[in-house]
Amino acid sequence: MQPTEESLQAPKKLPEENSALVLFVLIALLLALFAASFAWGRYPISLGQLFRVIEAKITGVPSGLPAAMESVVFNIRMPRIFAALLIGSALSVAGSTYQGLFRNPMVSSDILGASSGAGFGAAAAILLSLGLTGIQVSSFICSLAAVVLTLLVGSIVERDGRSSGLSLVLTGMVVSTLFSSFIAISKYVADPEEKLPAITFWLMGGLSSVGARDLRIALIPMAIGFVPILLLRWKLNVLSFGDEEARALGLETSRLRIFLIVCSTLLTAASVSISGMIGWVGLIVPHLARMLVGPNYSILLPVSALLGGLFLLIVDNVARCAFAVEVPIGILTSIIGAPFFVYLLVKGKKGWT
Amino acid sequence: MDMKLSLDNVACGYPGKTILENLSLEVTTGEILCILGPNGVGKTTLFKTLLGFLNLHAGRITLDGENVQGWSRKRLAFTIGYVPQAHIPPFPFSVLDVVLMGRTARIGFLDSPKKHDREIAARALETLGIAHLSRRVYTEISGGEQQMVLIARALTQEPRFLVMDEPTAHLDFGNQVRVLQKVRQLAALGIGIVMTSHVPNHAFLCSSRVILIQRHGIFKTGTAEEIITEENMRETYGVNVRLSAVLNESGTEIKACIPLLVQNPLEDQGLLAAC
Amino acid sequence: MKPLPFSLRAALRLLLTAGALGLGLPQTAPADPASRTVTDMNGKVVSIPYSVNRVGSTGAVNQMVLMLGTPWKLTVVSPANRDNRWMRRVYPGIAEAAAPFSGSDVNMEELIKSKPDAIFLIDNSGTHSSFKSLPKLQESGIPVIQVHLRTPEEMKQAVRLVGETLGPQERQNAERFCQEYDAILARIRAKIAPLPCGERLKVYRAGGINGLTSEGGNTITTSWIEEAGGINVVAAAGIQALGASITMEDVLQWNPDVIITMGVAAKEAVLARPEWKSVNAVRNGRVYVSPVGVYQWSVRSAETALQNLWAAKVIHPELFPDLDMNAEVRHFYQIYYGCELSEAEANEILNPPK
Repeated sequence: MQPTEESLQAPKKLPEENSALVLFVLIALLLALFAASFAWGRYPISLGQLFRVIEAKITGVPSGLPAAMESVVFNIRMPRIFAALLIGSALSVAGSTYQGLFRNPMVSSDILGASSGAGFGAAAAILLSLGLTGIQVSSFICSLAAVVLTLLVGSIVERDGRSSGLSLVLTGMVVSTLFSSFIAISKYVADPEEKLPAITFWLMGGLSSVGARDLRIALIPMAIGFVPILLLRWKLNVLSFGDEEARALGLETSRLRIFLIVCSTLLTAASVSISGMIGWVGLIVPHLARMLVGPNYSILLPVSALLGGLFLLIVDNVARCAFAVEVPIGILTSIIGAPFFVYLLVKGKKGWT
Repeated sequence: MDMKLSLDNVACGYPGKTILENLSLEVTTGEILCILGPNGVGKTTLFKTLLGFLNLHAGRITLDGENVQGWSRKRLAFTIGYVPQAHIPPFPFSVLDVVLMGRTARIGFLDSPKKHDREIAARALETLGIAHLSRRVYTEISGGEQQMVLIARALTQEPRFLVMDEPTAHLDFGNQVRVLQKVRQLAALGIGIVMTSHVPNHAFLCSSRVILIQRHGIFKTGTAEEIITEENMRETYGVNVRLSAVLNESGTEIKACIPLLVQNPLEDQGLLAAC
Repeated sequence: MKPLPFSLRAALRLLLTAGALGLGLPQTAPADPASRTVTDMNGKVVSIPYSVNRVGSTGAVNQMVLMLGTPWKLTVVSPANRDNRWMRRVYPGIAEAAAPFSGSDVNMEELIKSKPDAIFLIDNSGTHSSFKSLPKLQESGIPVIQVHLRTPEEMKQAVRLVGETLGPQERQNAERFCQEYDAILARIRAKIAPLPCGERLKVYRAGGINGLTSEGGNTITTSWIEEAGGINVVAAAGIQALGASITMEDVLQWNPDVIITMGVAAKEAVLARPEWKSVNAVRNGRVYVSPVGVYQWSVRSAETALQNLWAAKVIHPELFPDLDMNAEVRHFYQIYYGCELSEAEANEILNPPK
């Protein structure tokens, strides 16, 4: 091909050529914020006291400080910090994966109905007074059930067995709407003084209910979902070129696609079942990551994970520290996410959004 | 060593609807086969079948006599590469990343491309004369360049055959010629090429063999000279053409198919020239 | 009654609005003998049929209707009310009531079909403060009477307003309830008032699935906590909101002596979670579930009258050794609902199951 004048111009730097720097900065920021988050909170703990509490925990020698202080550091702040990191990462990785699988940068982690399913599971459990653990288990199961329903209906819609992705996305929307109406029914029959506020509270999302034990349990499906995606991440590049091209390049797309959907769904379901509905993270973080390092999943996926954790940790620190009354984290992510999304649309740089 | 791709009495189409029947043809590595025919006669169906995207309704496809039915996608990708029409992918990959995807079948299931693969990709870019595009963003280069990148990607796959879907569609005149030149060059390198086209002249230019698909599942195969006749063109496309020949600088005769427009445009029945 | 001069009427309305007078007096002699008017707690004069036989509301007000002697007038409720075990116990007929209300919305056709004479709406009470369908309701021509339920005074005023709307007999029953309510408060105050500041215990009301939803200042919760000789730690921290999300770190800092939960789920969360272990109330085993009768005692219904008593005994048991809550419950249900509860039933109200 004759080099045209334009093509001979020195190409501008590709975003992925910044990846080493971006990775370094992200990890540094993450470590710094991780450490700092232990010092922030509404219960006053000085840095000196913080170190004494941690020292006491490590050495086993009593610090002489109030028991409440140790509880604040290890029972409140630590699980929340880890929860924010893990859930932020999980939702972002799931969102990135879905965007590649469905070749659609506008889909997010809840595209197949996982969030609405989880919401209904939680609402039902609250109605049945199942307690915190019951709520988490029920929302996890219903979240998976919603996605399974989407896949089943989707496979009927696409009878020739090959998935174009679009009908699955549309089916996901239908199933989401269905489960949203189940949520509405639950709210309709809920007692307005006790149960209804509890359902509303759960739906708005928050990490205040996440304990260390819940996190340890949620870590299992998260790891099962995360590791395969990380190992297969380069293949997502190929899948994002569409089914026929990916098949011609040598991928058994149907099996791979279902496998990756299952993994992403595990990530999403495990997250929303302990945090409630946290929107936008799975949509905007992948975009942000793509702006930083480009679309190649080899680097995009790890950067999404780091950025998602960082983002949710920042937001959750605001949610738990800034005001006397805790702000639901889902509301904060929407407040940040919606304008950012408009910015993406306005910016409209071809192919980047 | 030459390899032969054959279709024996193939019937193909979509589930529940057979479009072409009793089709037999052969392509050997180093040869160019051009699929000609008007819109909607089954060109796309034929090569989707060839690539295994559609199931055979009857007959068989063989590579050196071995039935490819039941081959894994990976094994098929070792032999046949696919060059789709240039389109805009959802994400702005760099040209090198796009070309590297050709290595999918050649690397391990959990691997990503290594240095060795990058070298192969770079070689493919060089073969096609687009090494300078390597660090550009695929979505920001021209249509002709994108087509070249997709050919480079298929080459990176190291296939024996390339199946190309209208490689010259949507390209300006210069780029059409450049793409055809590369197609011939690839054939000369020993790659068998199956391509669809709307331009009979391209078959002459590539001195290829032709399968002409007409309405109602009728098809003719042969050399370009045998198939692209004034009568066949009229039968197939419903337009009048005149064949002519010019000599190139080395004195070889090159045929051309020139559409004859109706002299009084008002008498034109709305038939547009296909050439 | 002779028409009052305009200025006097205006002054009266002002007084009513300020909540200084606890009842909506008829404003003028009815021009149409088939109708009369009441003034709701927003100061709005509402014209209602002379005889009111079909009323309803979204929640707590329904409890008030049930306790004024003519429960059969309650014909429009919410699904939660209709399925409420104790509402069914005191008035089985509630199973036949229409249930067009849900949350802050109403199914208009269902409502109109049930032909109510008047509808009560709870304004500023938190859960229904933004009643979505209010404009629709007002357009429908069904009389809408708005009540506030933020303080005991407003609560009593609301009971009187409900009584007045229903008719003379109910009005009298409402008056009797208000007197009894005052008597209950007087009984408690006699013991609590002498209490020095230092002996008022820090109380945290825990709600929600994780025990971190509570109510702040200027709410009925703060009122019964204070009447019962406690300090609402949330209000003391300057938080005003209803249904406020509290942070666990704040709870640890406040370190309440007594925790009263709304619902068993909240109590279980509080007892199960390690972060609550260092809280005084948990360490001393002083976590209690608020009773639930016809309505949640801890919020905005007239059964809050009993909550004052119960909370006083829970927070300061040493001051009320002779107070028999089981007997009080049976007495209340017998007088106001005409319902003879067994001791076991009263006990179930006092110790609500899941």
